Amino acid sequence: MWGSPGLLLTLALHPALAVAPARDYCVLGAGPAGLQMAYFLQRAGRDYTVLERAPGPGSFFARYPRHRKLISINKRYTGRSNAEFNLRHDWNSLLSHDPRLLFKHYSAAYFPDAGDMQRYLGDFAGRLGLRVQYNTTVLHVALDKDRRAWNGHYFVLTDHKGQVYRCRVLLVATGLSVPNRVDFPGSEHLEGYESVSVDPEDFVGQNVLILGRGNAAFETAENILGVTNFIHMLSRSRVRLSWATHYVGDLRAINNGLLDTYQLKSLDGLLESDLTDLAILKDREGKFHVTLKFFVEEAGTNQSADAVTLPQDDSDNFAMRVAYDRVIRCLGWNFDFSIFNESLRLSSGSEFSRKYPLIRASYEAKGSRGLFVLGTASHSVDYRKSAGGFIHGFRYTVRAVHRLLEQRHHGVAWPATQHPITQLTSSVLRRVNEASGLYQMFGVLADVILVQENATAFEYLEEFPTQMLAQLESLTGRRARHGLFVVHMEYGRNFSGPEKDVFFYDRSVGHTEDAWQSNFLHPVIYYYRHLPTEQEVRFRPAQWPLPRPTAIHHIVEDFLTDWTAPVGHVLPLRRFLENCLGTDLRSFYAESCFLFALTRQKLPPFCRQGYLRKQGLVSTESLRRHGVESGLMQDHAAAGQHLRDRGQQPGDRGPVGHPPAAGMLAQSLNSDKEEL
Amino acid sequence: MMCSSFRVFRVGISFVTMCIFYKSAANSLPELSPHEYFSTLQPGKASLAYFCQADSPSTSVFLEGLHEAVRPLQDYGISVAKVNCIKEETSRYCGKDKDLMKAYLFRGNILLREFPTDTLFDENAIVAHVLFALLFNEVKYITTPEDLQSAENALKGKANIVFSYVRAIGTPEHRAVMEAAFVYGTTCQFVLTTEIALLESIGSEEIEYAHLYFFHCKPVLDLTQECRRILMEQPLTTLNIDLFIKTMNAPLLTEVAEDPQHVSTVHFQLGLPLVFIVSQQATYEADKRTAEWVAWRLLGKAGVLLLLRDSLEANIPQHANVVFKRAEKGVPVEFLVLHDVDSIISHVENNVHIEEKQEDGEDDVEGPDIGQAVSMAFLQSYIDVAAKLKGTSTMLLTRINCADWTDVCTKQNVTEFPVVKMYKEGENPVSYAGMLGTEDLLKFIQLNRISYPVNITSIQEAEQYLHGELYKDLLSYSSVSVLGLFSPTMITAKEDFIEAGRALKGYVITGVYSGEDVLILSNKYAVTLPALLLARHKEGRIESIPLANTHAHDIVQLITDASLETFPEITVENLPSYLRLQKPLLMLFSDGSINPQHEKAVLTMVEQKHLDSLTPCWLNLKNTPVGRGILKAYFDTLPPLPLLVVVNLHSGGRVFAFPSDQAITEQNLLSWLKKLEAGLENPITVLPAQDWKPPLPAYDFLSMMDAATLQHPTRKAPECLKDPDVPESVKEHHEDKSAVEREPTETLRIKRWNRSSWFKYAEESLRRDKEL
Repeated sequence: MWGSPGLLLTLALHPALAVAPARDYCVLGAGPAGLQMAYFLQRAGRDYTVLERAPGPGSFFARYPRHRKLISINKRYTGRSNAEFNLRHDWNSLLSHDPRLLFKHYSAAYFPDAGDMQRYLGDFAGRLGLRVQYNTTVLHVALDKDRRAWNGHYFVLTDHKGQVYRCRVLLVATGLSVPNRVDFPGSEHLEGYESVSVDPEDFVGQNVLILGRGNAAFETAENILGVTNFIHMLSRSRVRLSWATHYVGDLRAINNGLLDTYQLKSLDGLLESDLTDLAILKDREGKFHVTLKFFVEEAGTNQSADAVTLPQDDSDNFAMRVAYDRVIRCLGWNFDFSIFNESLRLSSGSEFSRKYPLIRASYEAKGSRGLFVLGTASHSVDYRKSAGGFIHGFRYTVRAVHRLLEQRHHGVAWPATQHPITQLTSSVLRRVNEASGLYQMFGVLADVILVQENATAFEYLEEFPTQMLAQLESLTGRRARHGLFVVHMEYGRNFSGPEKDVFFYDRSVGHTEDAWQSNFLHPVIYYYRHLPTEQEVRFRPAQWPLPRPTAIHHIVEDFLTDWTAPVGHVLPLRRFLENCLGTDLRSFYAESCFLFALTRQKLPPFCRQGYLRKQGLVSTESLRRHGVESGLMQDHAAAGQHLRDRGQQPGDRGPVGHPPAAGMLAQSLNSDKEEL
Repeated sequence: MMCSSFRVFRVGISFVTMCIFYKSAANSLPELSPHEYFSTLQPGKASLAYFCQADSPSTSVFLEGLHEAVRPLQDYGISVAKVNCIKEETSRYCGKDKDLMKAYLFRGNILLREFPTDTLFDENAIVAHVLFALLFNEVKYITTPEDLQSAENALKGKANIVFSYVRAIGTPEHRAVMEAAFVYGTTCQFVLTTEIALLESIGSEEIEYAHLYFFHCKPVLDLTQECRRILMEQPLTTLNIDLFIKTMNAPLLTEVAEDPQHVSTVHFQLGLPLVFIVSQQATYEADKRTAEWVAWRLLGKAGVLLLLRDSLEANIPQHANVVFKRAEKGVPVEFLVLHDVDSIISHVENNVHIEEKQEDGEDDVEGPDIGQAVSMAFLQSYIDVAAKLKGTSTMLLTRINCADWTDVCTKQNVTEFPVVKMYKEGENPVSYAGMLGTEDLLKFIQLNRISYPVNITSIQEAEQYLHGELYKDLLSYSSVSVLGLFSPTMITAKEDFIEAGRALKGYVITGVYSGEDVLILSNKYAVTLPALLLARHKEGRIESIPLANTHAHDIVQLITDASLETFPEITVENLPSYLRLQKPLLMLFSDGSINPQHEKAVLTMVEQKHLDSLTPCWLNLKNTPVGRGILKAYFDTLPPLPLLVVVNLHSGGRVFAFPSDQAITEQNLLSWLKKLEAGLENPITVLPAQDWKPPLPAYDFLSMMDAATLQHPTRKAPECLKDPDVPESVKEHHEDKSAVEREPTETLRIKRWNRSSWFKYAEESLRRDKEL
């Protein structure tokens, strides 16, 4: 009668729109992702505001998960003091400089209570003084074309009071908030996960059918498993166990009680079917019967349970021939597209973009420049692969987005550290052993090492979205003209999957030469002589997370994820780096450099960058003695000894047959035990 | 049996011998007969005995625990024994049933308690139970909030209470509390509960864990007032409880009138920071009240002191009202201006996490590493330096493993390893840029004991400085002393020099003089101002260098070059300095000290400027044995030493040898050098010029992966995967769908629901019906 509300608001508020001053950054939603972005914007001193519908942050956690137990682990002890390493096992904290804002200070439970998460987010926003405007429901987002704007348009947001916000960049962190519904005859009889009772008393002696096979479905089942007659669980495809898929969004062991009782033939069970073919009929006693949409359609308008054919009428062993007292829908959530004007083109309208908005690997919307999607809603980038839909993953992708924005709008290049080439091996080692962003966002974020001219130095960039590799120069403001390494973490190519047996004998690899067959998460280093083109990234070989490199190195998987073993991890890595760069990256004592300086015209990089600059590594008497005794160093005090090659040690599995390097290497440390 | 009774005898002699035998007696559980056992019991001494049948198995979980508990119980003067019940001796402690044997606790020969063995399930349980029984009066076990209330009321004004909740008797936490009670039981009343409700009643959250509170009841004189309760935040271990009680018993507020830098209290010794509230006579009473309030709030977190500014000699900035002294020893105190109690509290609490990291210290040098071998190798030198400085220096040498403390190292801008940084009070941290070796680092540290450039205040002092009398003990670390001379008006020139002096600190001794009478010095050393005087102490020479419009950077270079010697003994450490000159080396190899005649010959030639295009030097094979390796590379067969060579490192790498049949004299040398210059000499060798390529090939994983792909032709080699417009997730959905259709599981029954196959299915089932 009054036309669409959007139109009405736009008309009514147009005068206000003209005067509303523009903000640089608007963040929609004060959940974990929104607050994480606010933190980075605040630290960078940017003009931003967070708009939040609820009166406090993290309102999702006020209701969800319904049974209050978060399944993100709160690992408070690792035995390590390295704060970065510890984040690898902390799935709840947001990133900040304040060690008090670690989730371990908020809960002692390994699977913490959702209330603690809300409290944590409240402190995060409060202590850091993040600028959040609560009780502000944004009802409509539209574009206002303006050539002078950063992105060629302003985002115009209208809230429930008619207040208008003009934003140069819009950061959407609204999560997935719309329960996923399936439409079929009788779907009105379903109870949703969002509102179903959580009191087991309400299910005593009932036959329950749950639609869905995600964690919410199993969590719901787990809660009532002990009081129901039986629970049947119906879903489109087979159950995906997270330990087999290595995807934290799949069914976690903590929720899998029903699998147990199904396989042990208690009365519970699991079934697969396409839910869209389904129909549910209510009989006179209020019980529900499962049948097919096709039967219902055949029966026409008369839809009473008694008039419609049931599958068991034809097939008397039909699995779901019993009547149910309740049918519960636990089918996950979709992104709320309703507030976004179509001109933003967040959804392609196709069936597949119903759950997530359409975005690129840089988290920028495909349809509108300057709109970025953060947090759970950005999970389409790594859905069913990595952790980008969860706090412990998107805290890093949010940081990556912020770094992209800093470069794009403020000319601040992607942070990088400069090092002499002799530090290359140790830089890589350090990161693969502690970096949490690489570890959590495996396959999505990678460190990039830009080799400088003549391979004498390198720049180290952390946690760049790998799929944007071709655009690295424009996105980071750094030059990649002399080759680059990409440091990445990967599971074995054929290891993960819902049908995979991940406990098979011989599942792990121990020998360095088999490192490429490693199954568990392990570091992989790609070397490119030239920055790959967009074409190469997009049309890369099947199963390759990155384009085919010039050379590749796998650091063999490690049971302790501690890649510091001198022979097993460090030496093969150093050889790989050396061969990519065509140089010798070994370290030498000053004494050796001294000898080289007087007996050769050229010096290895370690001597050039250290010794010649008067920063050589002087050996001590005890080390010298150790070296001489182990036959690795020549004792010049006793004349007449032959030089030995130190490159090939017993137990060293490295390839042999290469001409040994002459010279007196400081390799007392290059033996099985220690590696320079 | 002889042996074990001997052991008991030894344990029982006296406390002193027990301590002596402590180690050898440790963990040995004497096995005795009942008679033997009772004869060893001494009046007043506690003893725990386990009575068992002689033929019962000698190992059991209980016995293992008992073995473990021998030593800790001995620490408390409690002996432990295993008593074997034998037929000949009957004892009422020897039960009839093999499985129902018990442990008994005696004091003297009075039985205090008996324990079923299953309550003593491990070492912790044994120690906890035994101490609990012995400390019956010191530790009060309660079960209701009312019990706690009455205990509290009874002790107000008299004694403080240590109240603890443990999940169960016999847990490690219970043991820790008991051990604390053993020490503090006479000064505090210990109250213990295992009732969660009781803990809840005093408002604790997170009751999964053991809790310990200190109730400050002693200062409470009014019975209606509550005792102040302080929760111990650390886990309940013996050490933590000990420290906690110590801080709780420490005076709430201490008044001092000393330099805060030098004040230490029990808090500080226990690793807590100190907060000084600065007070003046006029506001003393109010300040004291504030300080007391702060002290209450920070109880257990920091020590609080009232600092009386009026009677203080040390200088405290005018506006500072709080002084904060970090728990790390030697860190300079911070002077703060804080306007309310809350900001003091939050300042302390915010700085607690830094304290955990045991960062810097006074003149602190840190050496990070990442388990990396270069770091590990250098660490050896670093440790040697620390050992050499021990007891002689105010330096604190520490190391930080950046693999553990990434954030600390990043904050200090440390990205390469190893790094040595020096932190000195009131100065910016300095990175050490010298050789990573004991000698050079030691030199750097020693030279840094004074600040540079040294401010010389008089002509006499300048002379002393130049003659090496001023810093005698440092002369061995710096070959030259440099003095900058400026007239009082030469401000810019002086500033440049001061900057250069700072840059050289730790490497060269520098001083500056700009008194009114500076002309006396410039006249004496015949130089126009501004100028440098360079004292070469070894040679007893003082050189002068004019300094006109020279920038700091150039002054550094000037001094560095000037401190080079004319005919140095080349060593591993100093070669880089001489290579920088980019000249061919004229090098004399000597087996031991240099022949003075040879030295004289070379020095004369230097003086006559014959050697300007070369860097003359000599190498002592005794000091630098690696020189033999060099000779081996130069000569096929080694002629007798000494040997003189010219090494043309920077152009062509040719090496020439002075004929070994000629004597090393000025004349011979000169004519040889002339022939060299004329190109009439042949090199004995040309140094190889090859690049440093990778010493060994790497694994070619790319080929291995390709080969594996070829072996499985089902998987097509590089194939186009990406459809530019469909996101990853979409494909997953597609795959999912097809997966459903492929699935051969028992659920096929339901799967045939799709319309097309339904009819077939129906037909089939009909047919089956017919067959029935």
